[in-house]
Amino acid sequence: MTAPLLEIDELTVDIADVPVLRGVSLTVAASESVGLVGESGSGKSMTLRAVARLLPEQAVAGGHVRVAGTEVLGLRGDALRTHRRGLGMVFQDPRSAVNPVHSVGSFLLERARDSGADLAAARARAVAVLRRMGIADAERRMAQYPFELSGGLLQRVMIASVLMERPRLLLADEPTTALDVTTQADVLALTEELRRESGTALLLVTHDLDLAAAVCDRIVVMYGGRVLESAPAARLVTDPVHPYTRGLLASRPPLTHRLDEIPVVPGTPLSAADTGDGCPFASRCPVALPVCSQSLPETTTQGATQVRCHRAADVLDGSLDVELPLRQEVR
Amino acid sequence: MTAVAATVASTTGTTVAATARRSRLGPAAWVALGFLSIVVLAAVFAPWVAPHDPNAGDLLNAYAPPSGEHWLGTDGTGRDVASRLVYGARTSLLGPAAVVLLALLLGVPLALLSAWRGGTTAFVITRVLDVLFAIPALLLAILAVATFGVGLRSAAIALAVAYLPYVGRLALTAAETERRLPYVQALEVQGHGAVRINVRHVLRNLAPVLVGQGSVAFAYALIDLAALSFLGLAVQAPQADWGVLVSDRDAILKGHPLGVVAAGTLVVLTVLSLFVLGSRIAGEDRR
Amino acid sequence: MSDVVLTVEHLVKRFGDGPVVVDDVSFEVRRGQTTALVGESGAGKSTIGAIATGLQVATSGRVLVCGEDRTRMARGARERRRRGTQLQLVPQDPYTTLDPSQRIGDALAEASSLAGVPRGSRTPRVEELLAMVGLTPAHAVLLPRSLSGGQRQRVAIARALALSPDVLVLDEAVSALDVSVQAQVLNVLNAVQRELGTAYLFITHDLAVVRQIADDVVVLRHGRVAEAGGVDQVLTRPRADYTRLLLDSTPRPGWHPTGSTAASVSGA
Repeated sequence: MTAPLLEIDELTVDIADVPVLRGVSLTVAASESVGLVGESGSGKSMTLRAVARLLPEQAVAGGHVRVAGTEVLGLRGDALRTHRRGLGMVFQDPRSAVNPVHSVGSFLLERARDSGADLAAARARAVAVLRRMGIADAERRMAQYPFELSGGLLQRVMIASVLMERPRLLLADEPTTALDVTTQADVLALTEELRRESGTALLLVTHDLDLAAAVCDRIVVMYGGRVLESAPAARLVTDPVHPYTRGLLASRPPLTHRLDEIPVVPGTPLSAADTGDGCPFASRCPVALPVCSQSLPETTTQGATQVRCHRAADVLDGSLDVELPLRQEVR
Repeated sequence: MTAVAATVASTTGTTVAATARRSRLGPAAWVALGFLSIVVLAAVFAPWVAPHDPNAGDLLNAYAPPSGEHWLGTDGTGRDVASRLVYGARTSLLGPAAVVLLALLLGVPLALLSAWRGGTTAFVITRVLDVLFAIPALLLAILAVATFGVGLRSAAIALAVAYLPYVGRLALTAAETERRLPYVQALEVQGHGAVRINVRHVLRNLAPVLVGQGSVAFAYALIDLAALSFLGLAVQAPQADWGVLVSDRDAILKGHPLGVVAAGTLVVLTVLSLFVLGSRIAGEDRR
Repeated sequence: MSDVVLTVEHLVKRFGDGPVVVDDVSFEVRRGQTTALVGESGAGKSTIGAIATGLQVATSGRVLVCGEDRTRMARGARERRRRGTQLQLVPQDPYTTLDPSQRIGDALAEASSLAGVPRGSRTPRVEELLAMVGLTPAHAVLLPRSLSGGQRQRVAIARALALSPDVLVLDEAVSALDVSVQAQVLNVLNAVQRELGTAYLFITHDLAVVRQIADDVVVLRHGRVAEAGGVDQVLTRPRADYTRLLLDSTPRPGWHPTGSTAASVSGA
């Protein structure tokens, strides 16, 4: 079995002595797309940043992050730069990622210029990628400046700039959250096309489970700085195991019919700092046992699904039905 | 209420662990606060703190060196230097306090009004402040003193007017930012009157910034008033006042600088403490 | 008492010489019902909300609240206060809508005093309001910074309800919340509407949320009404192409994004 492209092994991150990630483990295979899903405080964005080595200054990271076998956490200088060059990163706000005084063309050709490549060829490639990302008048856009482009257009440019380099791994943090829903759908579809063509793996951070299910092969669910469940996307949304995942799915308002009352997970999403040593979800879990708040559950594996839950065995063999009605038609 | 009660049962949440940064005065600010407290208390309780009558001089004992009787020695007319410093704190603190309070009393309402109304009102107020900016404080003070006679009162009023544009402009910027915040809009939609919104809400939230600015202004006013007293335009000798004490040229010429140095040191330390404390308070993050 | 609490009549809003942000929009909100104003960014929905609450002036057209023409600016504090008892606002960002220096209980008491509640009765009223939105009396002593986004938004709702308005304008009020918290707040809103009969003008871009809260839907595109009707009809049997496009673009179980030339060509 080939080693995974990205391997995160018991990653811990503390910022100014405050725990943010407590032992996160996940893998992304070459060309695979993995969705990292969670709510506020789950630590999903921090995980992404750890891979890119973009953690805040007061952050202390432990554990392992390996990209193509190379340990990333200890890299410095040239090695670090090489590592980052092999990654593509897309953030939620494109405007904070571009230099407003450089034109779009200048931005896209930056790397080519640095490496002394053939500028004309690079330019042609840039225009082609812009067109692939749905920008019809790509030539004209090359000469424009970021302020002349809408948020949606600018994000398309960002993604184009990243995929143009054909990175092995694309890290995306809520790349379409700030976009209109129609733009989001278009951008996602086009990004998927390009990604598949170039064989780029994807680690996508999002709060939207349906979006992750639509775009990713696998989904990893995070809560309170830990991974609670990891499963193939199709399976996770139809047959979730962890009570938190079930709660998350159940509380999405359905588009097709109105509910008298949407099932809820009572309380507020907690971060790693707010939770103790046991399962981070114990305080809000409808089927929690005393052992849940005392000790961290081991990871139970069944096929391609991995769950961290003391009650996983019961859920898997069908003896426990988590009391969160899924999509009851009431009205 | 039963339907709502049922919803309550399923939605009552646990409060998020407080991760808010609580305001913390650093060690430097605490030291500053301590020093200022001592100075203020000494000024207030001067009759009990000062070992001697500040105005009682014994010419036979002029320029005495420090001793058990006179901790810092005596000045040219035999008055106890230490007692004069203690009593001097009164005018030295009172003067700047009056300047700052007056400047704030005039400047803050103007700032709030300008920020609230915007448009022509803001334009007029800003231009008035601009004009005041053009006038140097000391020049204004000298003019006022020439017109109304020497003394702490004229000097303080003149300085207050001179400081008005600084205090006013800073308050204006802060007020404008605050006024645009969504919670102010929300209060408007609620139907509250302009006065209530500005006094109970905008002003309350501006307070830390204003206190910080006020402290810094106090420090500058202290220096300016000391300078004016040095020139003989504010507090007049033989009244005990740090500015007056610093201006004792006789003592320096005759080789007894202790009183002058002590007074000057007190001015410097007080100003420093005010800067440290003021910037700490202003930098608090409430959100 | 009329059945219609909010009427928007041929509303037009144009900023100076710039684009027309609201282009001849008309619709009604009925007592105890929710009308959702749906659209993407630039559709003009938030502007309509701002005009209804009096934070912005219309270029032409009228907004009637309980029969009274709101497009004329309120004259004086008393009129503003009276208008406040008819229409209130819950804005999008829970983190900036509350005075950070004011305790929750005081904020709600202040709102109650506007509603004419005498001093002695304010505490029970505050507790009543807190209970209405699923909070407890223990929350009254807290400052906003001790509360989560969802809790702050509930306080914002309670504050708006303190004046017992006929209409509540909710401008993307749940959009900034986590999914599970969003569900809680939607439940609270529905419960409150059933209990108090408050009408809602619910401004949002999220069609799934619309399904859970709205009786009627007005779909806006570039300031114009693309489609309007009952929620069932608009979401299940849409007539306008744009509505169909919105529905097709909304992530839901079994959904896959498809590139739409409409979005690309419009330069979004």
